[in-house]
Amino acid sequence: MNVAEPSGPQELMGRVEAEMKRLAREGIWTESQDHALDEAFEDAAQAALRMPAIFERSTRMRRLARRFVPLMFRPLLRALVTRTEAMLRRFARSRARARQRDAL
Amino acid sequence: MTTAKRPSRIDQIIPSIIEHDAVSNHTFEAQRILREMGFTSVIYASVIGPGCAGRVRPLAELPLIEDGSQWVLYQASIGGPAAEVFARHPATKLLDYHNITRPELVERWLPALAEEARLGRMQLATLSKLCSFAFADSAYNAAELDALGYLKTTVVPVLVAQGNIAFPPDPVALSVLEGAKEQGGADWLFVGQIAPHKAQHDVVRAFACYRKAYDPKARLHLVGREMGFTYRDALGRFIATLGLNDAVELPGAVPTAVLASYYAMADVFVCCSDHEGFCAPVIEAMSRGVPVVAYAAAAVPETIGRAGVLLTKKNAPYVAAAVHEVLSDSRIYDEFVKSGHVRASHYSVENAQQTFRSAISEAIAPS
Repeated sequence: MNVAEPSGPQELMGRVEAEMKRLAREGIWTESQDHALDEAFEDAAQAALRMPAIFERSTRMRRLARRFVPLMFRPLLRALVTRTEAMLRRFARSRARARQRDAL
Repeated sequence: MTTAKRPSRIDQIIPSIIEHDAVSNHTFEAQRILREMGFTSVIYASVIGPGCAGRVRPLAELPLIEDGSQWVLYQASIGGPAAEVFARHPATKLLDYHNITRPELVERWLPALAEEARLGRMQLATLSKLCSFAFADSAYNAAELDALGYLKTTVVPVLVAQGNIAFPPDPVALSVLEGAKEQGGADWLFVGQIAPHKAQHDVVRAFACYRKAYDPKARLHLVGREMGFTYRDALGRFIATLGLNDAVELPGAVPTAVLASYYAMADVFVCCSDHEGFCAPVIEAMSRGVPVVAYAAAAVPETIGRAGVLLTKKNAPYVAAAVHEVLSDSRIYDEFVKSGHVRASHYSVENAQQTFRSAISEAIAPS
């Protein structure tokens, strides 16, 4: 990474360093909280990056289902998929809330 | 490369053009100045985005005038077929480089964009042998051109249209933001595409720390169009996970007057980008009296100079502490507002226009 020298009044930069250390010393913001944020963002990234893959997969599944599932079973199958998805969403939300409690 | 006579028209080619985008605004402003200088000048683009129809012609319509009276200026910021059309065109060639994002910064999120960036860098290298003169937004960008073998390079800052700097705030947006401010808390602002290399997630991290350590009522506004869906989605999930949905706003691309309202109400402009070829919003912030705290990557240190806080790392407590120090010390705050105005005037529309005029005059002067 091409990063230049810090700038700003010398006195200010010194105060920023000291303040950062105070936050850690007093447990206001520790390294473990930083790591928790790293993990939270990584989880968010994984989930977001999974979406296009899931969409592609479900499109393929739907095409496949159209070929093999008899017409009369399709409403039942659709309801089943909808319920499963709702359950997975509820599960994801509860995990997110737990991560939020851990992060902050 | 040919030594050409003085052109009567300087057309511009740009891969894609869209509203509320620094390179697109620069291209329109360049067209205005070229016309003022007496040249016929039309913009041609492969992709014409919303708000640009009628002002830009499709690339396929680019005329071919072989008497040497036509020159073509290519606005380089990404790879694509436009560069090939430019390369094949027999006119004398000028190139204006706005930097191309390093592919590895976007690869994970936007693989197609990473490919375009990779192609763009290859095309940029090829074009070095064909261009008689090149402009670059910053010395940082000019150094990249020099390394690729461009013979004549000059720095011409981004031409920020006068309207963007002086536009009055939208009263409705302003009253909404004022209403929120009455509840207390500082307003953080970052303006730029919602994109992985702009690292809005690092701004959010620092903001979460700032709220916890100093100001639980603070708000963050991340203004800008989303570049692809996945990073925006991840950012949204991250904000939700941190319980910051009520404190972080992502209004998308906004009209100039609404953007002016955000600048008017901002207490600090925080930039954690990993890559910026110039960073025009920093100039807009400084010209509107908003102090800047930024990660010192790519061209950002050159754009800010000594008129803002430049950080060599961007871990959450470091950025949060820097913002806190700026906002809690009125002497420091005023100093940055003052030096920001001075720095912004260095990049004033008048200065940038004059530099552009001089660069064009130098380029067309007989060698």
